[in-house]
Amino acid sequence: MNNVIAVFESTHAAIEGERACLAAGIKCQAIPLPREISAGCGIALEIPDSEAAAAEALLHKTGIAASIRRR
Amino acid sequence: MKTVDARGMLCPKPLILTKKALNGLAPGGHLTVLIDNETSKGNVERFCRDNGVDVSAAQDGAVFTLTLTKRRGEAITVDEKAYCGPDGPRKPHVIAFRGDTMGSGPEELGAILMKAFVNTIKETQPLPSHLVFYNTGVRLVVEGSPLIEPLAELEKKGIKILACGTCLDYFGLKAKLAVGTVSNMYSILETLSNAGSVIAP
Repeated sequence: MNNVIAVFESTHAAIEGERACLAAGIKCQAIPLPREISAGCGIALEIPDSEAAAAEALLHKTGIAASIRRR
Repeated sequence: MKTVDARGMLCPKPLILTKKALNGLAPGGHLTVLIDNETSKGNVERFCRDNGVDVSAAQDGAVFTLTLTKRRGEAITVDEKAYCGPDGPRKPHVIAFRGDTMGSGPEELGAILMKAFVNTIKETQPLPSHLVFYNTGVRLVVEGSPLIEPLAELEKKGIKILACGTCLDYFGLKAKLAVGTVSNMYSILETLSNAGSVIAP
């Protein structure tokens, strides 16, 4: 399974982002920010590739400060 | 009886020769090992004891005669060189989940930290031998927990998952266990005390 990583500006944003994704039925797993990514807070979300677009749209719509990165 | 003459040899040579000879024996077979230094003798003894081989030792001057009896049928696959140090190979660690959050503090922070923690275990080396869940920690291993999938993956890698039966019962979750096995205080305490170290997030 290919995954994308959602990187957040703050821990609060990460918690909100996880909540929003789960509420919308988007599968996500909280992971520590991969070492190769230096920006953002320490918690990131791993999201299946197939749901990346939905997650990105959702995070954008809810105004949660996040960026989606491909591994 | 087969004899390994390891006199004049230093570690790990006696261990390498002993393992090789043992793996050529049928269960119940005997092997004699001659060693003339005490460190190697101790290392071979520990190696044998950990791998289902009985050892009796006799000393004649500077030479130790170890008589080994192989108990198990399967080949010994552990790295014998790890027994060169005085403490042998490091015992694996155990992770004790004392609650459903990592640390104590705001619930939502502890919860997301715990998820990230569990999702990191598979990336660490060495892997723990056991994950033990008690008190509110058992909520992580029952239906509805967001961590069932990663925990099941760890279980597949051979990591044992123990959930406190008393705790499951207390929360009315006994029928909802989704990963691991129900355990009791005896095995939980035994697991914690046999661990090389215990990590409690």
